[in-house]
Parts: sequence; C-alpha cells; structure tokens
Amino acid sequence: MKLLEREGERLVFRMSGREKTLLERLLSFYPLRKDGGAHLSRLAEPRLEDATQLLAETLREQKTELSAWLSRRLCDGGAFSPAGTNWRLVLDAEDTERLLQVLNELRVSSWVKLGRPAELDAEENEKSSLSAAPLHALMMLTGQFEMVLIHALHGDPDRPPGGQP
Amino acid sequence: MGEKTDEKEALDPGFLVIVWNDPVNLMDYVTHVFMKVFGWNKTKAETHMLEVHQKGKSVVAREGFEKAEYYVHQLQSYHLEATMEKPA
Repeated sequence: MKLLEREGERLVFRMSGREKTLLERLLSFYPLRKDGGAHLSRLAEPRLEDATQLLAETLREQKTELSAWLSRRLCDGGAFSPAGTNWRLVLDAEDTERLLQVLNELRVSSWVKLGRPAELDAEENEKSSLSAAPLHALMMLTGQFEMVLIHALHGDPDRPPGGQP
Repeated sequence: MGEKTDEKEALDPGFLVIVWNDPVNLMDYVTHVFMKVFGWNKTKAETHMLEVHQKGKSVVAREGFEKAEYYVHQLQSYHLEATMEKPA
C-alpha cells in the first residue's frame, strides 16, 4: 500500500489486489463488538447513569453509521478504482477518520476479546492458543493499516510512504 | 478577574477529562486523535500522549459537564479509554 498523492488531507494510495482483498477481509469483521461497554466515569456516580446510557446509544449509532459508510464507500468499491493490475484508493479527510475509527474498533475489540493482555509482542502471541490466533492477526494487521494512514497524514521521517502494511 | 474565576471554580470545579493508558492503542494513533479532537499541534498532542504512556493517564481538559461529556464521546468514538471525573 503506497501513498501516491497527498493534497491537504486527501490521500491517494496504490494497493495491490492482495492488499485490497486483505483490507476488505479485515473490514468485513466490523463491528467486532456491538456494545463497547461505554462508561463516562471510573467512579460509580449515580448522576451519570443517564449520560452513560446516552454515550452507549451514541456509540451504537456511530457503529451503524460506520457500517453503512463501509458498505457504500469501501466494500462496494466506491473509493477504489482499478489502476492497471493494481488499485487506487482515494480517501478524503472524513473517509480517513472513519477508516481509522473502524480499524481501531477492530484492533481494540480483538484485544478485549483476547482478555486485555498486557503484552502484545510476538513472543507472547506464540504462547496463545490456536483459537486466539485469528484475533491476534486481526489486532496486528489493523494496527499496520492504521500506521500507514497516520504516516500518510502526518509524515514519518524514519519511514517513507510506501511501506508495506 | 482572577478572583471571579477562582470563585466560579470554587462553586463549580467542573470535570476533568482523563485519558487512561492501555497497551493496545498505538502511540501515533493517540497523538492523531488528540490533534483531531482538541485541535492541538503535534507537539502538544505528543506531550499528552507521552504522559498517558509514561504516567498511566493524562488530564486533557477541565470543563463543565456538557463540554467534558462531549470530549469523552469524541475520544471514545476513537476507542480511547477516556472518562470524566470530579477533581479530588
């Protein structure tokens, strides 16, 4: 996945067919959790109960909206166009924020489903059971795509655009 | 003016918006979210991100109920662990 153009916050990437398929497979798991255990405060404050319910509803609505956006823009190919044997992915500022939110829901929810491990490194991952492997993969791969988007937005002097996710 | 502000804070100390550390949110991602939600420059956003990472939490705002609630909604929409707490 290579950044071709950046005009303000509009990003144009070139992706191989495999990268596109991988991204689409990852996004097909969204949302991994329908309810995210929203809470406004770490202290049990009765007067925040209504506001906490509102937060939970807002986050649920956001997931519904993001699912619709995913179908419209990414899964049905609206943001993709063929470019020879590759694909072009065009994201405006709003698209990029939404894609980051979707990717991070998958990343954080994978981590939650794995039992909130303190260590995420490969050595610890090897100790995990086979059944947990898909969640580890989802967590790691979504993180890689996040980093590509963030570096494309903000630049990274240590890593030129075009790094493989 | 300073006295009036002090009086107002004494009557309503507001809420602290706190972002808590976790091992899963990427550091650059957290910096990006702070820039987006608060409109901070990269230096300020990184300072708060590092505080979260090194000290376990960072107070990112002190506001009245509605604004604090708004910030928590925004931060949680990006899946950061954010809460609003009364100052001790």
